[in-house]
Amino acid sequence: MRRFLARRLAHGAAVIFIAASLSFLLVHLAPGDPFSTTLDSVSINPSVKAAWRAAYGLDRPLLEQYFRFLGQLARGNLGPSLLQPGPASTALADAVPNTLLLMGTALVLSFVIGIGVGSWQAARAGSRGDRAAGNVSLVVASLPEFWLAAVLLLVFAYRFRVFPAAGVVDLVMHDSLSPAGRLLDRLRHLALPALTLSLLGSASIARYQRAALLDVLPQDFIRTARAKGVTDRLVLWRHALRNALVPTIVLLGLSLPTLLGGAVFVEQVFSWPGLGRLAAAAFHARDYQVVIGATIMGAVLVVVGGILADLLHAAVDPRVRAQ
Amino acid sequence: MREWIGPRISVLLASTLACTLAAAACSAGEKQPVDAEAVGGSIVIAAQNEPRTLLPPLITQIDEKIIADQIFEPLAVLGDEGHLDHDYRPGLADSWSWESDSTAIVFHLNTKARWQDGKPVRASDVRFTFGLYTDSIVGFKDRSSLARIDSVTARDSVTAVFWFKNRYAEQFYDAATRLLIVPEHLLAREPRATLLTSAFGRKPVGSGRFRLGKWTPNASIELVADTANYHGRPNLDRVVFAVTTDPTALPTRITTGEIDLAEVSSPVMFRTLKEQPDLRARMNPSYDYSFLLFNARKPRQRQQPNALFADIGLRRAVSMGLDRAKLVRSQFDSLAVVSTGPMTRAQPLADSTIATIGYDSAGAARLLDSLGWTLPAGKTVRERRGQPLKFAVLVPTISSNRMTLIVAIQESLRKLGMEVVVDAVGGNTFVARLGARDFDVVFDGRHVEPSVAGLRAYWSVASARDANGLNFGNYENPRFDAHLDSALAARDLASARPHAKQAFETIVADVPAVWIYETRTATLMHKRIKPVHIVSTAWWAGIADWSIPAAERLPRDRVGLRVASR
Repeated sequence: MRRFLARRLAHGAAVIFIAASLSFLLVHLAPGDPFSTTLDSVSINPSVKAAWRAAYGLDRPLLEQYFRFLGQLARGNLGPSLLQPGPASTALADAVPNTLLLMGTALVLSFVIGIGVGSWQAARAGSRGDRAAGNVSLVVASLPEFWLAAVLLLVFAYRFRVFPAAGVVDLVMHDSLSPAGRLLDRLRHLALPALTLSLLGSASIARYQRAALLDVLPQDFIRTARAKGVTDRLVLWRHALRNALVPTIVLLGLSLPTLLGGAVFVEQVFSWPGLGRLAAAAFHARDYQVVIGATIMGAVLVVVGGILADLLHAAVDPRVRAQ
Repeated sequence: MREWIGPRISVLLASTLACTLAAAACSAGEKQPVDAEAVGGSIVIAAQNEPRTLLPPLITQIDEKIIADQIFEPLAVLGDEGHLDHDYRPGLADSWSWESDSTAIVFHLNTKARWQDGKPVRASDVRFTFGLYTDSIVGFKDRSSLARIDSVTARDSVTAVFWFKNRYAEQFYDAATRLLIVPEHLLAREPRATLLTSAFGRKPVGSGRFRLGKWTPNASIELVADTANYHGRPNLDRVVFAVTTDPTALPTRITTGEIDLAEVSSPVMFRTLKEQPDLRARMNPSYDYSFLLFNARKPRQRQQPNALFADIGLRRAVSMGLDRAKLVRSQFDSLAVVSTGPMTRAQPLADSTIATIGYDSAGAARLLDSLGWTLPAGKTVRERRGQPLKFAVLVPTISSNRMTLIVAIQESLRKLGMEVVVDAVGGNTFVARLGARDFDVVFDGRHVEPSVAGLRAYWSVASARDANGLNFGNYENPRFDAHLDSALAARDLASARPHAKQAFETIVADVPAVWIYETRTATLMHKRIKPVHIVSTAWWAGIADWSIPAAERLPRDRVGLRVASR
């Protein structure tokens, strides 16, 4: 197991290194730089921009910049953000908790809803309800994040005013609320972005879960359980579901990078100050260090998700452990 | 207070002015009495972009400007009517006077003025600020507008003197309003080449009536009342700028009351929101115009004339072939008007009576025929000596208005037998190619200020010949330069007007561009907010004096200041 983990960690480190190097190269090769990103900036004399580039070391050969970047990275330092004071890691550290809160909530909701719906469908496979739920989940799974986010915003914030439209907390009232009030305020702001991500995630998970259960339900041990007089409900929830969870649990680890990708759009629509929104703004402004940092975070999620999926798979399936 | 600011101040007028100023100084210099009923409340304003920095010389976005104007002060504030030559209220300076030859203005700072860290504001801060704005390495984007100020000196600790190279109409405007004064003691040691990322830009300390409370990146910027301000505390407890970049979220946040005030430029959004019972709409004057700019020279080769657009006849034909009124109405409804030249109607020297090229598609076709661009039988694109009349228009994809309009323009010109290729590029590439003059035609846009001094940078011969100049279309006409110089050198706006008119007539007749539209924005504001000092050029200038009546306050208006503001 240790050898397995060490090997996966080494692979992960290589993936992160490659992702960091590629993002460094791509972002530097893309047209423009941090000082030529807005249309207004055209009125700033090019000689001034050249001086700024020199001050931040952007006039040096790309290879030199790359090795300097690697040196900083080896010391755990991404370098300064070019568009705001302080290191890029501070900007990322400000944004990551909000994204983790959103992704964590969405992940839990996705799995609870997805497993529930998938199991419900499998229990009545082929029925009208199963077909209807299958069609709905297919439609939801194929919706673009930004579209679903905009629709939920219009329905629940604009039309019915059930939830706030944007932000993490109420900009004025939050600090003056009681602890319970603050929690409620945070949950109300979390509702729509988390619902968007979890609806999209749960639609896919439900389809996986249904298929996995349908694979398990015809097996001998289920037939034996039924023959012993176990009720259908117990057969489904205690015997079948446990065995059918393996592919879904593997999906848990792999969902992390997908969720992060979705968060980029959802955070934009709901003005949620997380990693996705920061990365989008940084890319638009060519804030190299923040873009690279956000890419590294994404790569870390992919690696961690992959390792987590393997570990969970091994935890629930003794055959994998034995291998 | 309305006073005549100009070189022709007579002794009599000067003494009258002094009296007026003394009265004004009382209201400005002394703390204003606090009306307990008026004090309190919070307003939330939409910011459509996350500010990069709040350091005044490096501000480029309107949101940055609105926020910085609450934290920092100029020496004087343009009055509600926005007359550049005679309509000012005291800012950091509570009075001012002209030297006898009108080449110097003496500003007497309010002796009670303090920075938000408690240190007194000194004349040396004014001198330092001028040095900062004019240092090329800092990168103030309108640095050329300060070129006629020779220097700034500190006569004593509270008297700053602006020395000018010559007399002109907008001397006072340049000195009093262009510079937001910054503290020397906090910025003197900052390396100037890296000011863009200085900590001060995110934790600014000014002398304005609001100070920075909390900046949550990508979410909000909270300004709180500076209760110890020498002008008196502002009526409002706080102003929060909510960063809302998504076009769907903005109308929702306004409708649900999460946002109290927003500047709206989308006609659809404006139509929907102006009918909301809680909102009041106010149209703002336009300071933005967009145009199809022709390159008079070959792309990237300044030495050679452009194969197509060096010909004024072809430029006229393109202009005549576009029904600009229809294009603008269909795109913007009431939020834009047809542009008449390199100006907007809100500029005091603009002249909307100047003859422009009207829509005449038949005339355009005849003109093209006469130029040799004829339509061969069975073809849809005109040709001259076998060369098709085909050109590309560079358009930035980040401007949705320009991206939509160019399609309609493309179709209009197709009917005339011109093949237009839309060369849509991202913002970075657009800026790079514009700067390199790498285009035949570009759909460009400009933001202008009340003064027309900026025209020199964009349209003069010198700017065209400077490789780093901003005259991207290589337009050259010494007559235009001469008229513009005369207008800028005039002693007052009345005498500048005829010269400006001639300058505009010259450039419009030369057709260096097809002037397409001037956009207007509308400010939508919650009705409980009672604004005063809505300056025509900057609706945000008087926020510190705005109030919310106690009876109309919402729960968020009653939060109060959580900690003593200073």
